[in-house]
Amino acid sequence: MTQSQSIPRPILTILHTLMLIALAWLLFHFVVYVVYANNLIQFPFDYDQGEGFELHDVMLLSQFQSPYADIETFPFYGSIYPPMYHVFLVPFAWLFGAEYWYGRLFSFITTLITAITISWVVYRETYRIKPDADKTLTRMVAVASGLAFLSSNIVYHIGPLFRQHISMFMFETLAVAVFAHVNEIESTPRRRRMLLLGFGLLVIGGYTKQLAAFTAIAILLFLFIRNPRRAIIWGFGFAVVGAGIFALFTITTDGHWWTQTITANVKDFLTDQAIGLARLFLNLHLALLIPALLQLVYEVYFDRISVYSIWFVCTFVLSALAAGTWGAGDSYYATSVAAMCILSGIFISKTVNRGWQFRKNYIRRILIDPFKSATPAITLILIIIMPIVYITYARATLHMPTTGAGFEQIADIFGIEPNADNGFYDSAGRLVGAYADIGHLTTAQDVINGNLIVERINAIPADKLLLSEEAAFSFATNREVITNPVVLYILDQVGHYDSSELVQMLEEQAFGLIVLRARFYPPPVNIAIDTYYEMVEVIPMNGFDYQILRPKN
Amino acid sequence: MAIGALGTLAIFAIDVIDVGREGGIGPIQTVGLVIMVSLALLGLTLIPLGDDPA
Repeated sequence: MTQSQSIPRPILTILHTLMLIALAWLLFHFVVYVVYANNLIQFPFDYDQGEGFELHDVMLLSQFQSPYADIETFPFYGSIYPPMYHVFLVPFAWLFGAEYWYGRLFSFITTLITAITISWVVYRETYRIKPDADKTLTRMVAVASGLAFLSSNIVYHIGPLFRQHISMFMFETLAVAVFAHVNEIESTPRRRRMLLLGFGLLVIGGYTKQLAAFTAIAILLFLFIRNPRRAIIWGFGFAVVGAGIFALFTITTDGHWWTQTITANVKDFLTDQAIGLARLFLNLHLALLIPALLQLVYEVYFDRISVYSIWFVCTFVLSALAAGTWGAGDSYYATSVAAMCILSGIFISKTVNRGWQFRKNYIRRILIDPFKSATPAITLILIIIMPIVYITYARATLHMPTTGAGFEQIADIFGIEPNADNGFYDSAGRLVGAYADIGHLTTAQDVINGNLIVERINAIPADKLLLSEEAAFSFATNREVITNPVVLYILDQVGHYDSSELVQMLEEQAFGLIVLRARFYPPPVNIAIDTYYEMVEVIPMNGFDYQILRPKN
Repeated sequence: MAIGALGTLAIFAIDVIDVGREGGIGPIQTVGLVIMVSLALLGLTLIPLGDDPA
């Protein structure tokens, strides 16, 4: 007999109806996400600053060249990210050349795998806790948990970008799913295989982006709590492998790997930015944050602490701090969103399946026992509230185009006014600094204007160099990618970049054309640009003004 | 609880050891203090639960 059969029929009907409404709304967000991904996959230029440089990393690796080179000498290029994401894309580079679509498609698919993993974990954990759980309700909650992850404005923004961050949280989520019950595996060979798989995923995640270190901390802490000896032995092996790869990269790149992935990531801490992003995260995700925290409290006082809880606390706290560094953004919270969706999903699934059990202790005597007589009524109320949690979350994270077939009609019916570029509505607004100014769809005019910039570059002699702040225009005109402005800027700020050679080239007007978007170059470079070059045209594209500069006479 | 208490002391110790620093307790230190004090308080509430495995 399943639990739902013991729920009064009218309550069950209300529960199913509300759950369907929640799923429909989250599914609508998923449709918006697919439309957005499809739009971006077809866009041939940088959508988010830095995508082109990640593509350049892929192209360098596909030619067996290192992206971790000396940034003080021509072509002044260096990457601050580890190589795994780019390595995965190398076969595509061999097949298709320098294209944006495969990197964006790859990222998009990794978010779908992450969402499916979240759903599967919620489903698995529900049946571990309550083997006779209601199949329909459990599946509904599991699907809602996965969709909730994709519905987060933070995940939506970056999901289909040519950036390494996205596949990182797939590897993190898969690793957590592998480690969750590894200590309970009785067969030693199987347990070792799973540990090896989990640590392998962690190493890949860490060498996709450094932030995966937060997940590694959480997992090592979890293993230590459950089995200190095993944690120390495997943790030591993990550290040796991780450090070995790091040392190898540092030696083979003549120290540039260290400078670019470590030194260039020691940036100023901006308190206002950290607080603003934390508040934004809370505003958007509060509806799921509450059940996630309740699940955490439950585990601390009435159950064993799961890897999900430790993962959530570690990634939330550490990401909140890391999000305050210069150049960071809302995307730093994406891993904690995944952890939050799992924890809240387990809480909600357990509630609708009436799977709560409380150990006898002083907390139960104070908080649970006084309400014992009202338990049936409280349970039914909580069951009805659970789908409302997802509906509230869907409302809080609402984002959609207000133009285009279907979307325009929906926007008109519900009175949704655009508050972002190209007629896009984003519930997060643009109120917080470092909140990514992306999520909108690109237009045909953006592509036309991008091609206009390409035309301007093609108009200069082929032997003249191009200094473009975005690599897209170098690829589109078959010219060498010169500089990675943000890397130069950061290293300049920490005193590890001497811009003399680049400034000298600007003085000599070695570049036939300069294309700027945000002037992320170090101050001496920007001064040299303004001294020896003049702006001749501004071409808008994707919400940004691209400045075209020619040498002064 | 021990981690929380020791962590709190360690964060205050930064100002004692490195007295030449500017600005007193900084934002990161404040966050660290909140986390460590919270950990210590959490540990206190867990003591009455006895030997239940975490």
